[in-house]
Amino acid sequence: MVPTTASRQSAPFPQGSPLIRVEHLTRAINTRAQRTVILDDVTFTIPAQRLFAINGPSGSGKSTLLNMLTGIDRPSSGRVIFGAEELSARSENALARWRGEHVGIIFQFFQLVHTLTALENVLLALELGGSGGLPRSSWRQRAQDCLEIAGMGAFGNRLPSELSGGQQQRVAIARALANDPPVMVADEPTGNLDSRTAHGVFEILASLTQEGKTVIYVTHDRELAARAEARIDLLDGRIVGQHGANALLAASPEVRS
Amino acid sequence: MSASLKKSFADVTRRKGRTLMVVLGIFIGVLGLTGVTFIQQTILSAFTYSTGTAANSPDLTLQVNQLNPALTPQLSAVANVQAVQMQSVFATQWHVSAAPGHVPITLVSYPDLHHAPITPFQLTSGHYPGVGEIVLEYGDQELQSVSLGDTVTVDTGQTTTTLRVVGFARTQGLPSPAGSGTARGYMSEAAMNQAFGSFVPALGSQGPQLRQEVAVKVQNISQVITTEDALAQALRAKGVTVLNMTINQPINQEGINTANGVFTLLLMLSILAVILSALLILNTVITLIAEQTPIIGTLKAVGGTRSAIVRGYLVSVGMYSALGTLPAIALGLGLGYPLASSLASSISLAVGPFTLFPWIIILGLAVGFGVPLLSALVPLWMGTRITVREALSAYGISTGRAGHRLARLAQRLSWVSQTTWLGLRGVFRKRWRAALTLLTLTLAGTTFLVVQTATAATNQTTANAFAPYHDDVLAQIYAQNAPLVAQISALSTVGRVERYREAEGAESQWGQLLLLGFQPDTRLYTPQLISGRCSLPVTPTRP
Repeated sequence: MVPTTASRQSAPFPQGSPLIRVEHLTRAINTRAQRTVILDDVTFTIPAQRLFAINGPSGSGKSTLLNMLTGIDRPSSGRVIFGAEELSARSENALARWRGEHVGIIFQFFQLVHTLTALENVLLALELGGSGGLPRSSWRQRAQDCLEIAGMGAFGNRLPSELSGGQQQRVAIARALANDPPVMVADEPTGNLDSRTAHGVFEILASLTQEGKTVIYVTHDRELAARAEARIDLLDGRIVGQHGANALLAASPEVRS
Repeated sequence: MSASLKKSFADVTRRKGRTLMVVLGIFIGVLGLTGVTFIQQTILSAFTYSTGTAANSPDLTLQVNQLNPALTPQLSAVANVQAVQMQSVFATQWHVSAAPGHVPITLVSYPDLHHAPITPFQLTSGHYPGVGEIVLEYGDQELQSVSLGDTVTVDTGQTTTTLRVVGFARTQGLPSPAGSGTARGYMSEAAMNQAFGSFVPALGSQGPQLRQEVAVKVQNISQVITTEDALAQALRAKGVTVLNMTINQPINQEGINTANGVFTLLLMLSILAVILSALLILNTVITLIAEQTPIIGTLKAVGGTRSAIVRGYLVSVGMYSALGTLPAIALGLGLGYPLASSLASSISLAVGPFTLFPWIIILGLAVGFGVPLLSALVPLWMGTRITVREALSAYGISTGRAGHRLARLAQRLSWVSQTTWLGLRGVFRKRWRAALTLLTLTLAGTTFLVVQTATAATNQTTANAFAPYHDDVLAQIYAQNAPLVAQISALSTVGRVERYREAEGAESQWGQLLLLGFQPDTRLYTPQLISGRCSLPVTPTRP
């Protein structure tokens, strides 16, 4: 792991303390024909500065849950509380600004802007996400540092089309790191990669907890899920298992009941 | 260059064909608008400068046997007189290289060339003339190519004299030399007297004449005849003989009104082109947004607010605008000037040197940038409303009843191929886009028909106006001159000569009439009568 100059913020939440609380979260889609429940009364807590996994088979609602945690999707009922703030109370624009400052998102299909180089993709996140208060003159160095952390320091001038899948995902990680958010969220980050590349990408993600980041990732891979310090297992929109970080999980109302 | 600016730039340059079409759309609209407004403004300015303003032409002219500048204060004191200008005028021929080898030229001098109260001229280059020198009117160059330092040769009656060109001038209130066919030059009083002062024309001679005139501008045109009489009396009282008196006719606006009608039509077409450009931009932005839906989702996911994203795309539209607008304005002004000059000469106007009108550039910039940005704003604002989840899941496709109806129809019409249905679904999937495309096509078709119809109608009207006349040459003579007509008829190349008269200003219950008179046996004029007949030499009167 490259020692980072990228991590500038002091972690606002002590390690192991509750960072995100999910309370009675339900997401249903109503059509004329039927009502489909994707998440059904889900309650759990995510501890700060931990590697946290959301595991489950396809259709279990794990990506939807991840979208709720980042404000990308809104719940039908229940709430997500980040620190002391409830996300659903915010407007779309406020959520976008909040994401820029607090969450780095890594997508399964990388979602890089294909007309920009790797370095420019990271710079774009700095421009849009508020840059964590960095002066503009430091942005380029900051973007380069993030690429170094992701092991892509030598590929800054490459376009996404000139990079392999694994390299693109590393650039996506660098982009997520750009604004130095306390939380990194990854949706099936290795789902589109071969096993060897997936291993490398996962190692980078896992190491970020040592930099004070809370890393939340979604996977259907049991082996990968088992490597998390804490995790929940979903099936058909319900939590069917909770593992690790026992003390915090025990504080969850659902576990207590 | 920032990453967002680079992205905006890449959005413009990535699809070169699309960019070319959009830029061309803006270019054509702005070019038309700039060109038409520039030509119109140049023509109107020229018109205002020359024949359009009554302020710079004398209301009456008195030809006298001698000029005495000392009488000016006395004449100015006559009731209703606004300004008095003493002038010597010599109408002669200028020898030029083009056939027939000469053009009429009016040489003018004032007691003080720097001070001509009614028809002042402005030096555009060179200096005021001395003895043996001449300042030519700027528009004279359209009659004969001439530069500073060149010499011009003019008739003095029996012989010729050579004058050196020392300047060019523009005279407010003077019709274009190219249009009127008569050049104009300014000389000093001394030079005029030296060259032509001893020349005394025979009475009734058609040769060059040195006229000494008192030009007068009145305050109230309705009292011009009374003023004319008072001035003549004042002059006679001082021993000056008044040889002739002329009251000048008011300006005829007909020519400029016709030109204005053409400009209005052209302006409407330019505005239509701008509207088409706006629709093109609208369609392009909708397509761009549809293409970039996942990218918009990503930008929102990494912290981009809606306004920041819209701003980024507006920068792209601004680049399209800059690429289309700036060359269009430059070309509109560049092409506008020669076109205006060409058009002006056909309606007896001289446009003068190139003049830049700042408001036309501002208008071009406002339209070239404003219209695309405004037309892009709505689809951008609507398109970026999409949530991150919808954008990344490609949920941006509207699913409405039309799709269901089409699906039901497809089930019934099973003989229609699936590829056809696929195409139809593509057309109606985005109803707004389909509506805009249809609107664009409709407007484009309408514009085409408007142009074709207007052209055909104008051509037909012009053809109708000249259809009754079958003559090849029209010669204007000042009186019934039977020997001259006989001489012309005797020429071997002349097939037929007919006399023809016209008189303006006849009053009727419908206003002023233009009366045309032809020989009863005319073969060179075919009247197009809607009903009735032409009046005869002796029209029977009703009992």
